[in-house]
Amino acid sequence: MTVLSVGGAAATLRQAQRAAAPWPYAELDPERLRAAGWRPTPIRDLILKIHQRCNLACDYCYVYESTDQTWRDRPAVMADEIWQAAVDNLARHATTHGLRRVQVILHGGEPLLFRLDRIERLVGHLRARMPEGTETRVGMQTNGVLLTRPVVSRLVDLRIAVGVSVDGTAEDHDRHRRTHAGRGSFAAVARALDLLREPANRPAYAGILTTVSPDTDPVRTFETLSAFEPPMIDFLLPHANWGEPPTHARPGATPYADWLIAVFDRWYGRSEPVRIRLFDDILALLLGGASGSEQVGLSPAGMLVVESDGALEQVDALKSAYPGAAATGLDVRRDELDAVFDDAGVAARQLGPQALSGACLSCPVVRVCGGGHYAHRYRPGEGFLNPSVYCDDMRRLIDHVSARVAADLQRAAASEKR
Amino acid sequence: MVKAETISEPPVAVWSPLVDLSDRPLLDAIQGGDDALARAARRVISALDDPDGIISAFQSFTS
Repeated sequence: MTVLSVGGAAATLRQAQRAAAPWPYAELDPERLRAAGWRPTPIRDLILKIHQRCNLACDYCYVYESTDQTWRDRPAVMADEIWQAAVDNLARHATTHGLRRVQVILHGGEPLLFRLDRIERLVGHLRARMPEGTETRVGMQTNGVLLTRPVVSRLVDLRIAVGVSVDGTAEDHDRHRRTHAGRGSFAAVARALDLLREPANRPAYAGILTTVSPDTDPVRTFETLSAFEPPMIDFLLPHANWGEPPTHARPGATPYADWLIAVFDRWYGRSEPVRIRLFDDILALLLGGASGSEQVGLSPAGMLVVESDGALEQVDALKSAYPGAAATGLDVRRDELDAVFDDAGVAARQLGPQALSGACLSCPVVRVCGGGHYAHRYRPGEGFLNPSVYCDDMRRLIDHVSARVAADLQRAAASEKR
Repeated sequence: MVKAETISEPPVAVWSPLVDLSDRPLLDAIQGGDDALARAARRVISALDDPDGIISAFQSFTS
């Protein structure tokens, strides 16, 4: 009976995915791709949704406020057997593929609701199980509210690096990132970031994650974030697609690019500027390198999510497309991680230019843009073989950065000729 | 379904360099700087023995 129910659920899932996204689910066949020479990229990042609930109620949250509401049906807390199975599965995967480095990211909801004693056991199990020769890094993405001094000290001891979500100034942050009672969370987050800035705690400070919002002042946002001295700032475009366009999108306008360009111009040319992942990646791509982020470039995706019930899924961002968009139908207790490479959705995210639309392939900045974030390419009833809904913004941003870099290189070349 | 014979690299728009600097010794100038461009150049050079960029979910671990 169990086998039948699992098979039935998988068939239902596939049917829904083929209807919502014919590309890739009805048109891409991983088996044929492999026969034609595609070699899957092993999973390097395993994201564990150790706690499904959150102590904040952010109005734009892509987990709780998006079209996919599957979090409601999952356990609030990941059971021991799930995270143990996930760790053991990752260890086998690392051995099979001879991985030199893997990362486990503790995620939620709010991962600190999982409690530190459980986190300590999880990390101990992880470090004990990973094969020799595989460097294991542990990260956590948190809203920062629960990062008290004892917690930060413990995270330093456990060698867990935390990324903290912040939206810029206190006023802008508190407009969106509130408690369930409606109170702003900036004061608590600022205290946490001040703790992380302390020299003894810096090993636990991974960076700041910020959502781009054109109704905020970009320079004030950037300066507010910079004052927290993060090792890295990650600016994310709000999740949107052709069915649900970005809030501030207007014909002929590029508000998201304009915002990012204002930040770029403030940042670029500084001595030892703070790392901004999106800009660093665009610069590296312009110089012929590769990207490591989802927003630009043509690198293969090497991450996978384990939900609190053991479901293996693609990243949460896909949940902004349609219900079930992130699902693979696999379970970390039953299926090896390699099984995800039979999923057309996973394969699509590893194909580079083969996963791009004709419009993207004929675009002069395609190798830098890479079609933008995969989730932003979704069009209801068609799927993901489209340019990003942020196409105009991406083009404008990349052209701007490209022009600045070209001017600098020209100057450098001219000075060397003299 | 995608046909097997279509799997070879699809035609991508012709990629031309930003500025043709192939005959100019810019390496020292770029590598010695402390700005974002110099940092990006060092990143590209240091990744030459590991050219496969892999998308990562967590910002701190992407060098």
